[in-house]
Amino acid sequence: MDILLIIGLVLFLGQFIAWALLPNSKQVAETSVEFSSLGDEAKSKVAVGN
Amino acid sequence: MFYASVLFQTTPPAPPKIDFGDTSWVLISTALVMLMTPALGFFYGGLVRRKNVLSTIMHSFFTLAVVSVVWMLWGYTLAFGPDAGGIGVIGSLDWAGLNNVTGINTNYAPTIPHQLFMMFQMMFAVITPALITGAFAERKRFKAFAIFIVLWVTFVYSPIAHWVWGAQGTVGWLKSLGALDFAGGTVVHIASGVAALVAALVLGKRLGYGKEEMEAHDVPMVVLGAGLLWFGWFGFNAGSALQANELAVSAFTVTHLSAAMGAITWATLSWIRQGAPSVLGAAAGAVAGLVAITPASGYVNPQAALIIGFGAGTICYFSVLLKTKLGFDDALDVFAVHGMGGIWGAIATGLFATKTVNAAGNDGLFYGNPGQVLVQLAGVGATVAWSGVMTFIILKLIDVVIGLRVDNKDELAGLDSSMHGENAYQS
Repeated sequence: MDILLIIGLVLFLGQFIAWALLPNSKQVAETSVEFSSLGDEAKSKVAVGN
Repeated sequence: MFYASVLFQTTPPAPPKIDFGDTSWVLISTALVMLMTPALGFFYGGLVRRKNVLSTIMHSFFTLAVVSVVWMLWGYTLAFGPDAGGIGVIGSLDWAGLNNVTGINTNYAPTIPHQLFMMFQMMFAVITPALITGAFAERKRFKAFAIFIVLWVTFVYSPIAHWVWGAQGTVGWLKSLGALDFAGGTVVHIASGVAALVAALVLGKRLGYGKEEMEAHDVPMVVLGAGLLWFGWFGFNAGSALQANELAVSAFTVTHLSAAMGAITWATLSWIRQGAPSVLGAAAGAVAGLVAITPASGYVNPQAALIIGFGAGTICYFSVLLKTKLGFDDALDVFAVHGMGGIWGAIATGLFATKTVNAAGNDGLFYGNPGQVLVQLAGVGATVAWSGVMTFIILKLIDVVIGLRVDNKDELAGLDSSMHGENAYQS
């Protein structure tokens, strides 16, 4: 089996398994604001200036 | 005697002929790449605050118009025209105003009209400076922006395109070194990403940056933009085969797979780190995957595409984190996604390229040719240096002459009303 295929398979299945272990939901208020716009903000649109 | 004369008679090569299938595909691809610039406007427009959405969309839309004219007048000849001086640095003005851009040019595309090749390349020239606009969103004067894109396409994009892709007369110097860039990872993404970093540093932070929240005002608009970018990217990469053939299909396949893996990876990382799979993150991850596969798309197989997409999602995600730690205000993370994604893509091309995909390319490290990585790094270094220095000079010149930034009052009011006298939303 191709080594690149094995690596790709591991990278995908690793994430697939991680999904099963990660939380189902999250409170909006808990969201971190350390990211910029492209980061991970899922906050409601109440920011100053919006 | 008769047989000898027949045997050694040289038959002239068949004249180049337009292939209708190839021409149709590149026509469609050109339209697909054109769509990417308004799509970028949506992507960026959704990411800014609602008081700046029109000005942000206008950056992309106006770039489409301005750079098209610049490309026709002098951009195309500087990038792809007959080499000036014979050292592969810049094209001459022989094709200025599209003079002599007729018939078929066998150096670039032997089966489609030369003018179609020019149009296809025009759309690349258009989207590249549009990418930079994400770094100076929400604070740059419109006229400073308009002047900037003309100068940048002339003095940054066109020379780098000539280095990497020029083939009329003396080939570009990076091309002659053997640097592989199938669809513009170096020319488009690294050049624009580095320019974005420089622009962010020269312009300084937005008012209130780091003190108040500046989050995306319309996430569905971002996802719409990302989806349209993904769609258009098939033209960008698969169209770069310039033929409707197996290589185009291969580029199409790896483009899609890398985007998919990028989206999955960024979303998963955000899920691990923030506790929820981010929609914005999935959109950004797809774009990161698309950026990284761009230089590699004509040289790698689907297995490598998964790894490239994973690397893009990971590297770009952590680059966004690093930017936040460092504290500079690249407003829409252009350097993190396009700069870092492009650099990863260029290096990955040196790792995973294989002649089994494209005999005209080269093998990479995984196929027994570690030297290709060094060649790719040379391409990255040259592009970073040229784009960084020239962008700095252009911005400083504009700043001295007309000023780069809007007044504080205009910035607080929002650029939609202060620069354009219009508002996106009624309430």
